[in-house]
Amino acid sequence: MFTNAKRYIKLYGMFLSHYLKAVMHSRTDFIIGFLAFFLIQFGGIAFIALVFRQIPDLLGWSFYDLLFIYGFANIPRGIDHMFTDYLWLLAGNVIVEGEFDRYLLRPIHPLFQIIAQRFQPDGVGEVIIGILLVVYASIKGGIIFSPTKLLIFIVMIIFSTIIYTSIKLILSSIAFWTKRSQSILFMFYSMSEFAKYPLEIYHKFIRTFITYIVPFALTAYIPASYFLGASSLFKSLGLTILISLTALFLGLKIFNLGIKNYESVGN
Amino acid sequence: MKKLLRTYLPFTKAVMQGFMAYRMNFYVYILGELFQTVVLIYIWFAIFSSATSEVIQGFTFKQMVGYVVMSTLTSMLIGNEVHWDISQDVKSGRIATNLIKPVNYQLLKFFNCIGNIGINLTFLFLPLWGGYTIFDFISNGVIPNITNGLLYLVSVSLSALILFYINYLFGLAAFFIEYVFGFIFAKEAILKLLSGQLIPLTFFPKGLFNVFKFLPFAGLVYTPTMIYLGKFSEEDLLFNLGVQAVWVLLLMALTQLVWRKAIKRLTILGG
Amino acid sequence: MNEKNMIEVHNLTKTFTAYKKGKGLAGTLKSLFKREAIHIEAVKDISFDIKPGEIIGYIGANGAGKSTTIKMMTGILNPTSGYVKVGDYIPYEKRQENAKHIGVVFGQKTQLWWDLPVGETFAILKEIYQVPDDFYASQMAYFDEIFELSEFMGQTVRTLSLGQRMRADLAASMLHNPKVLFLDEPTIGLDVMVKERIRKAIKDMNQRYGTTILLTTHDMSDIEELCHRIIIIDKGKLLYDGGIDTIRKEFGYERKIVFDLRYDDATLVEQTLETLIPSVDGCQPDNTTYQLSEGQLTVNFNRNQVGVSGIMNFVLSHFNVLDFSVQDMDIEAIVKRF
Repeated sequence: MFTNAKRYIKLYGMFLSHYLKAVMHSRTDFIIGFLAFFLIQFGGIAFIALVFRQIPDLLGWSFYDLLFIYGFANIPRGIDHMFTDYLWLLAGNVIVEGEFDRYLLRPIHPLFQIIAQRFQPDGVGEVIIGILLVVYASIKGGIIFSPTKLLIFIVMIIFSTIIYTSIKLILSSIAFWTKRSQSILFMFYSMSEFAKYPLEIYHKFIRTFITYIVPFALTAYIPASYFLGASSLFKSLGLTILISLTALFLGLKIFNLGIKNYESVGN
Repeated sequence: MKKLLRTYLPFTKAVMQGFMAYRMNFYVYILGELFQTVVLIYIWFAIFSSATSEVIQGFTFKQMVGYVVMSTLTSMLIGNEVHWDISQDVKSGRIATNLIKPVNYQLLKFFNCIGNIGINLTFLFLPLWGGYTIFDFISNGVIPNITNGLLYLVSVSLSALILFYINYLFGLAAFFIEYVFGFIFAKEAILKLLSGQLIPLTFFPKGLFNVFKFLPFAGLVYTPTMIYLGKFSEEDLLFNLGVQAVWVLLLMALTQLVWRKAIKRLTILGG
Repeated sequence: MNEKNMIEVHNLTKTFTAYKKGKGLAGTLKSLFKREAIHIEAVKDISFDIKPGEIIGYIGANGAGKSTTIKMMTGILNPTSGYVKVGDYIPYEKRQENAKHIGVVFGQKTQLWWDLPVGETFAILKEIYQVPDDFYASQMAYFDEIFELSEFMGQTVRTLSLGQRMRADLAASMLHNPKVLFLDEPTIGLDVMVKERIRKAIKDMNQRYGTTILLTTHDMSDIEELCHRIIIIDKGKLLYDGGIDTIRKEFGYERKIVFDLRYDDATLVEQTLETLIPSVDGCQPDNTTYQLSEGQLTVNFNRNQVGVSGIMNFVLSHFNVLDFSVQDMDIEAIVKRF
């Protein structure tokens, strides 16, 4: 489908360089957005810190373990937030207002056009707080990053990001049939809350659900537990790659089916 | 008074009628928000299993579940859309046409807010509270205390007023700030922590707690929830209700002040 | 396919299926299982051919099926039956291929990126359509000449006036020198000066590159000045396909006067109006019609057979007139007369 990869990359670069210029121009907006998403995550961290004033560990997990998982969760979430934010609008008013028509009038893939439609600097706040937490928790918790481990970390982040994007893609594509799907997207997106804490605290049903059905567990707890020595590389990375690629495949499939449906019913 | 109601009640009705069309979406959104509550309860369960004593900061696990449920319900009950509406009005320039009309803008928004609360009460608070109360009775044999319930009503009314004024102020921020969306998100994040919605304020270190209990945010969720659970001494009760009442008055004055500033800006910049 | 045709539309039909939505929660749940379908025939069995270099006026009232047809010709929609061929492609089968060779402008909404400066927009379009450097340079110089783009090259699209935006949209649709241009209401909402400039540019483009152009409009002057041929559709069906002369002969002298009246009793006004046709010189039921609604009286008549003064005299002497305006007959009225 993306035959002309080089052309697409060049095009995306053109969009991105403009968006970055625009961010520089409206620095107050950037700072507000950055602070907002920073603060939202700060609330969760404060919660963990306050709780650990009362207990020595949480079902065997230390304070720094929890911080590591929490921080890890924010990195793919923030990266996805930066690059695919327009999917929220696809789930919102794009179909209803007939705006999708124009994506069908250009000789490039509609999904590329939707992604290129926006860069969301707010996600930077999430990524930075995530990296800070991971670094801090690693130092304090004695997790040593060898170059190989760093590489594994980056690969895991990439595939975790794909999970976020795929879930958003699948749910926003529902709008091709229902005109709007923002509330459903929001509902499922909220399940990412579950991923920020060790899975053991949940009922088995929830554990299975967020590992295989709405696989947010693979965006934080499961990959992070490899670094915390609680899971093997094979299990963490293997599962993450397998499920993220499956989700991406499904997402693209449903998006393309959605276009097919749009072509036959219009809006 | 009658004339006032006749003029402004239609604004309440409009909000409620608008809601009926989006009812399904509303419930789907709420379901998403409830996931956070579910996560909280699971975490507390894990925390209490890891703790050395049965009681943490004066809460047993069952009481903590009560706190999580009632604080969630309270924040749902008092929620309004005033900040979004006002920022929309400012952005689209509709606010200027609103100023020409012989209605008081703040009162108009207040009656919109009553519509929001009416919806929250009927379609959210009462069913969920009823469900929880029945559950609590069957599994724990707990019957809600009437005095606490009545005091809760007083306190939550003050909470609703405080949140109305805070949201009103944040809506007006659209006059001064381009990116209101981010600004409101930031506010929501701060409120969540400082209102006690995430964790009872008593969990904060003493020094912080002594500051936070004087802030208007404590009056949003923490105060009514603690009152409902009967966890305040008589002295605490009077103090916290007093703080709420004082903040209502202070915020009322502050909105007038900001409103005047905003209007000045509107007339200078021409919307 | 006939080599000479740029666009072929053959027995084209599009039926939309809508579902009745249940009321309330019970209704919604019920409609999940058993839905009541309503079929709407937006386009019914339309056929026509367009030759290279033609400018076609595609005309009809709102909701007549114009947009649906254009959507099928541009590949946005699949037909229910029949087919469309644009150049060498079936647009909805090879949408992206087809998109390389066509240009589309919807007057109501921009095709451009809202947040991007106009200059950047063209640089990106160059990349999307893979326009060679030298051709890009000559096109940009040409556009600057006919649209005076440099006036607003540095502004973002969202800050453009309607006229500027339309000029930018048109230029954008022409950048890659498409074989076919689809223009949906390209002059809507523009003032006379801008309209004139846009018509000139469309004509120029057509002569310079032999671009085939299909345009929809509500403006009679667009048609008179631009179109070689017009196609009229109404309620999804083809009504007329032919030269502009026939229309001009039959309807070119049609005029419309709109009066704002003040009155208390509408029936009294109606009664008086019944005497309009008998009492004004030259008025016949087949060359004069009128309509009264909400204080507005619209009189349509043929200027060749009825004097403007006769009608003005009658109305001014019988009613309290607050305001009036004389206009060319609009397309909707012409379609109605068919």
